[in-house]
Amino acid sequence: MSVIVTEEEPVSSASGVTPAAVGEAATLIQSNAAEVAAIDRSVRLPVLLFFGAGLIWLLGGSLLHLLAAIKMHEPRLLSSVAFLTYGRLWPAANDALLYGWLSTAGLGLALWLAARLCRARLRHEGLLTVAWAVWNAGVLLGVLGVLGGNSTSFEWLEFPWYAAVVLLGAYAFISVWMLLMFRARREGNTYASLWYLLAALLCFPWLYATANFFLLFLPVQASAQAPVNWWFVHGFYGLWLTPLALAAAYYLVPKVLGRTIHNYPLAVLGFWSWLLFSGWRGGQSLVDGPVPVWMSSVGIGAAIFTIIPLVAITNNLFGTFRGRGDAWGWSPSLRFTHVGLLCFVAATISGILLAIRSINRVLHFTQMEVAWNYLALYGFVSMILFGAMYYTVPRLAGWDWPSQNFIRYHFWLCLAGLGTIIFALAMAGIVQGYGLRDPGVPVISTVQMINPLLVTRTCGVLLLGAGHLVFAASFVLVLIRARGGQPVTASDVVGGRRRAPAVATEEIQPTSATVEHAVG
Amino acid sequence: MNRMSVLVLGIMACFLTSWVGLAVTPYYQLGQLLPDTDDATGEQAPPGFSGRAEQGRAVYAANGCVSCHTQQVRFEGVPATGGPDIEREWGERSTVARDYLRDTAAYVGSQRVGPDLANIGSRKSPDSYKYTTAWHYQHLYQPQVVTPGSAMPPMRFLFEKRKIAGQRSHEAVKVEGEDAKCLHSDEEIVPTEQARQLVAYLQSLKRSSYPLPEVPTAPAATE
Repeated sequence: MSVIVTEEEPVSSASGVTPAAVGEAATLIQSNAAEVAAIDRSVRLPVLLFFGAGLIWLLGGSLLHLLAAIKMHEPRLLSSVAFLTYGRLWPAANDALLYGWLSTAGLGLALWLAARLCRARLRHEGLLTVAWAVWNAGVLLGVLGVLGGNSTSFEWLEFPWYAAVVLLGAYAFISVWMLLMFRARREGNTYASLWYLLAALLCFPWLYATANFFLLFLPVQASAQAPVNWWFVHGFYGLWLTPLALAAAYYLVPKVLGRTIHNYPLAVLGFWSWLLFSGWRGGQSLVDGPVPVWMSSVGIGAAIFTIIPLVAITNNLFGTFRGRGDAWGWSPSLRFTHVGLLCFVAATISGILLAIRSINRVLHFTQMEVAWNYLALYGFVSMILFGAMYYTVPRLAGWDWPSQNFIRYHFWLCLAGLGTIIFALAMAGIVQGYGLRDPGVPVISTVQMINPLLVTRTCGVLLLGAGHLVFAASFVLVLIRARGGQPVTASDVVGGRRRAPAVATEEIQPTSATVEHAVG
Repeated sequence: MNRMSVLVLGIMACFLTSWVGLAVTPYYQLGQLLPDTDDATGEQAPPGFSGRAEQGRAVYAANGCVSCHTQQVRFEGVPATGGPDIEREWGERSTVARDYLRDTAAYVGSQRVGPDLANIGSRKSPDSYKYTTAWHYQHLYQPQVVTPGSAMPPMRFLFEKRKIAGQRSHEAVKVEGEDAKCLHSDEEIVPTEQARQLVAYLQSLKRSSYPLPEVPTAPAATE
């Protein structure tokens, strides 16, 4: 089924592959390099701005996370400073991650993908930077609002109402550009990547507006708030962050490998079933809780059914990878994407297990849920965002990554940090879970028992943060050197162990960066 | 799947199902519940919150207490009268949707680093000092002294240190341990208005201290 093509060759449809089945790899191939370069150039400013702001939030959020992690085992630290109390730090750190890093960088990625997939040039990108500024102002307002004591204390919706209004306004502004690009679309076919992108872009405003409306602007009776809140949390992950990440994976994996996606019908099935089931998972977080039993039962059912999209999506993406383990060596974007997808598998399977009633009774309310969040948000979404940035940033900036070693350090620090955190918190969750199940064990004992594991987790957060710092440094170096204005040559990128043919396939292709530089 | 319109409508339809199911349905099924009126006494359950307790709810929200404390008693078994939450005496029965009827916002929570607080206002202890207003103040001010090993952040910013003017305040926090050494003999720690509000809120959390027809009460509690 897979057709191996090089970037410059037109795809032969003689292989019996339907036009739509010709994966994302085809998009560029059929175009001429100059056009792609022009498209990339048209989005370079806003996309790099979104990425850059995302990275600042990632670093800021990591700092807040670190402080919160330390406070878990050193509660008396800085206890007289109101805005640094754990109950403000922790949501602020999470929201900085969710809205500041994942959503902001995700929006940059969405812009770039939309331009590439629609083969449309972005116009009036200067105005879009205003929307960028407003979006980031919204996140800043939100984080400061939470730290300043205006938290709503609704899970993942802690931002005070005024921040939510700013975010929604900025999003509406940004979506006008997206809409214009989709209208200008010239391709006859749609690709899996485009479906996911569209799903994310349509679901986010609906989700975020509904949740804020029902919980903050015109709050429903409190007895109805919990289901709405959990519908939002699962929707934010399943219908906003996941589609963004999968859009990137569906674009990059076939593209970098020069293949088509493995199985088109399965991609269709995976898409629709994921969309349908993840919206209904909210009840899994309210098992035995103060809601009608049907809600938790439906939530558990929907969680179990996500096995269908999981199989379809992973079969497709890993099928496209098959036999190309060598890509790990030469393509950082694929290495990160691959790990991200493995975490997606792990997160989906463990998400199903955590939903099952008998397991939920033990592990809900424990650090296991926090471990799951790290796995899903940092392991899956964040790693795929890194992978996508490794691909796009050199093309947009016209300069390759400064050092192979930086990429290697980033990768291994992230893996070591995440591994440590997830291991420690999962263990803590199990200890805590069985402790809380036993009425003979005082709650304070469960906290004392997990204390060493919480210290271990802090070490993991440090490692992860160091990884982020290395990546941010790489990013800044690319931008600084790109401003130097020397052309990218193959010698700049043949560093480390990368082999010559790989250079042509991945990081710097004549189709984008060099041509763009020649043009610009 | 090449028609954009089909794609957009399909996505909207998928989203719409869960929107109706988990956002709109709760609004109608749970958002319009009415209090239960006792025919004999005319009393309504659940009881309302005082103005000060309501202000305390805002303090609870502002400081993210929900990050570590739930406010829900889970049930197990058929009829649902058992489970570790009940055995821990976190409530005489499980909490149901109607128990949150009087709240402006319900913080049911998802983490139990600390104990559940659904019924902290009606919790009993053999130690007569425990759960009193003075105990709450001390616990908020120095949780590690009240509960050695506690992971709770001391909420020092809800209190103020001041010179004792004439008589010692009746609200002055009983400060013990290391913290007492930092305190001069002519100084005292008193709660701010926010601390008073927060404690009023905590003490009015009695989510399952009244019966509701839709939820069975644990057999032990009815004796």
